Amino acid sequence: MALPSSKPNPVLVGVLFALCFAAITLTLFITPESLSVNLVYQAF
Amino acid sequence: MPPGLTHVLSNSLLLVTLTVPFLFFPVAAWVALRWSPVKLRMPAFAAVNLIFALAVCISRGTYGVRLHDVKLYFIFSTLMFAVYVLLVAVQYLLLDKKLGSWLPLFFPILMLAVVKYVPGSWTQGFVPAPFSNKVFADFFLGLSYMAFRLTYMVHEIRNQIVPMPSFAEYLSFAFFVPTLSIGPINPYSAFHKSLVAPDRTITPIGRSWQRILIGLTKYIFLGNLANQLTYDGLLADGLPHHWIDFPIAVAGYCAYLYLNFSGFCDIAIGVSGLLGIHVHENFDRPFSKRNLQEFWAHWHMTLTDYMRDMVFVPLSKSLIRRFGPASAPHCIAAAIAIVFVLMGIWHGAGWNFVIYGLWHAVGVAAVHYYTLFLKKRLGKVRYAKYRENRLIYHIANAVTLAYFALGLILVANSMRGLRVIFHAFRPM
Amino acid sequence: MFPAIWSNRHAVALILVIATLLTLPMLMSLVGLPPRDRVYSGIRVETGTGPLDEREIFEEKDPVDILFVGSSLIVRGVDLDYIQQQLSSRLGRPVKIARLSLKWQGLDMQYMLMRDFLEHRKARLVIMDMPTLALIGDSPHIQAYRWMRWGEFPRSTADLSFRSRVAIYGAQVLGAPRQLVNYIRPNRQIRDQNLVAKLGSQSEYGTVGYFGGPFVPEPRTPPAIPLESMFSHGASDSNFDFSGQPLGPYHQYWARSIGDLAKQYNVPFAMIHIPEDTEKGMTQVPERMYWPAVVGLPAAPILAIPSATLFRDTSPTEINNYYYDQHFNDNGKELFTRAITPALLDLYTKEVHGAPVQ
Repeated sequence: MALPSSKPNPVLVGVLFALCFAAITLTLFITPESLSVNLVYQAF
Repeated sequence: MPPGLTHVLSNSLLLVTLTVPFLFFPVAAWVALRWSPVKLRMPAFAAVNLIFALAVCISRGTYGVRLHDVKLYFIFSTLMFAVYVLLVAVQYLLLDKKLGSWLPLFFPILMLAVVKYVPGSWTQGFVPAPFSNKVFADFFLGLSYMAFRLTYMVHEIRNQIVPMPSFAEYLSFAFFVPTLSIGPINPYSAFHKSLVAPDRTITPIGRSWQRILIGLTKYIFLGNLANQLTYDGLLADGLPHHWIDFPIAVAGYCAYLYLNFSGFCDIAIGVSGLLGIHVHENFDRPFSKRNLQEFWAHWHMTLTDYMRDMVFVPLSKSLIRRFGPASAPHCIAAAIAIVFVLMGIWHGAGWNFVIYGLWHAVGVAAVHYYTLFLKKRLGKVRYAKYRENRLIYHIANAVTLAYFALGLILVANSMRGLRVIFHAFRPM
Repeated sequence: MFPAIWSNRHAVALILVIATLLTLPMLMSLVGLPPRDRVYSGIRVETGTGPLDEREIFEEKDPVDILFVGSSLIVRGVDLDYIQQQLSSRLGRPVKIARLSLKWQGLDMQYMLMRDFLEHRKARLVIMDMPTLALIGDSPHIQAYRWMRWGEFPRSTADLSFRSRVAIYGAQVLGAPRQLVNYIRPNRQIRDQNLVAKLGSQSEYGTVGYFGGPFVPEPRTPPAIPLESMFSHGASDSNFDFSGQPLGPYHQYWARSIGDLAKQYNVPFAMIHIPEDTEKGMTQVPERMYWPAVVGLPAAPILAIPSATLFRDTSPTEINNYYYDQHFNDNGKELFTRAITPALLDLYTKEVHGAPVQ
């Protein structure tokens, strides 16, 4: 499994991380019981 | 929500199940590893792991328990956890005293078989009535992974890859909180090396944080959205469905499983990385692989590595020795089949899991024979050209993904669940 | 350790996926939402009587005399056939009673059902059950993501707090992938109308005893209860205790919206209290708030019977036989319905003067 030789563009990474924060934050506002907290592989 | 369920653990189970292993534990572990006197470092780390492992077990299972029954649930869970620790401690004794025998390899598997695979009626009676909806095996969090972790440790010690650990280090490894629930099945050698010869180039801090962020996004956000289109989210709603909902659910469940599993592993790897502990990867872009054999080398990789080292290699060698080198292709195919049936059974107790194992046994064995056929038919140069052909790659990739995704219907649903799902396509 | 992002292409792909999913509710609203009835075909049977609600709202066209709206308490508490029969007898003509409900309490859910109904059909009287202590928290209904669509429901969130508006948007984002499927294919209708009536109605609990215990048939004839005592008479009515745990701002907003809806459609509105098992022995009807003031309809009555009054002729040990958990089983349903029906008939007569719907 070869690791990439060059890093991704920092602006793209910044935009992506901002979206990740937004997505996570939004999810934490959702009514908790609406969300699945199951770990699928734990069920196995 | 069950009436009376008004304790804090129920209000946001998502937050609790993430903050306990991935926020509070790392802080406590960092303090134990950095600030304890050298002699007490491992015992402190072991204590932190045990305390937070118990906290994870309790917090994961408390949903659905009425407020009235919470105290009993806490007591029972703690007792069961003590039994769990005792069984793992017995394994240490066997390792220490009986390393040369079959016992240390057999005992964790026996533990797993007794808790998870014996008929429910034998064990379910131990679970108190107020929460008898919880399965007995649920009280042994991550037992399937624990059994494999401990047996692989035996293999590594016997092959002198690592020395025999102290009891404190052994407990820290067995109950290492980030990987307790669903792995990755980290080898003891990686854990041990991280403690005795820490190397930040293996677990860079920036990269660890990034893995945590991406993992949280996959697990919390993307996984929950994908869950709306799974068998449970889309098909098993008790209503009639158009046939097109079936391929949507097949793809949806595949996406959900990947996001849920790999997302949680990303967080586990990232948090471990912050502590300087190297945890092996479980996923390496599996959806870009051209056949099922390559797929399994890049999906749940620690399980594949375990099965390869503990089952496939010794079994195929043994078969070839028995039947001769000329039968090597068939011996390898047989070993592949056995490995995948065992892999299916490891996933769960039920005929659907056996069929799942067979599904992949047939698939991977077919890839094995097809590869041999192609190599023989095309020769070295043309085979290399075949491998470079983009059209063939995309078709092969699509077929592989479809085969894998279809097989998942067997792990996503029990046999009864499958009947409910297919009933949805009939007029109601 | 693998990198989190492998390449620029990987980063761009993730950006597109996450950004699209975060804005999907708005994108769907721009493109045009699938028909509203397809929302109901995504409400799973475990959530309640979705198929029946869909039929009542979108398929049936006749006006109804009484529309009941509420949670599972109203499903297990009120026998519609009995009321229909009694009201028909009183008026000397066939009447139509309908009920819309979903499980788990939430005034946003009840507003949605009432609004969808009134946009498609006429009702002469709306009766709603209001939240009990089982409604925990102050956030959207736990299944709200199945029916909240940006630009449509709710139409306006201007008066809600920032937190509530984000929670609603979060529900819309969560539900958007499922709503996408509604573009691709039409509903599959359930042809068996008996099944439509039964799915999600929890009728299987009718003959279940208290928390799984044996079902014991009990007398279903209620004691004599003065008619006027079953109506609320102001905030200081001694038959009621309005000092329960108040609703949070989110659900109070929907309570006001429900009142506004009743005014908008000029439909008489009343509330009903279904006694739960925890009210055993109580001589007052416990309510979280003084609902007429909360919904903004001071004249709207609450129909209720204190548990001690309803079970006046029943020994304390036998009261549990009328419940299977906090909900009535068939014993309780029939007892309560027979007790409250005179008040319902009286209310109907007063509110709509017994005239057919125009």
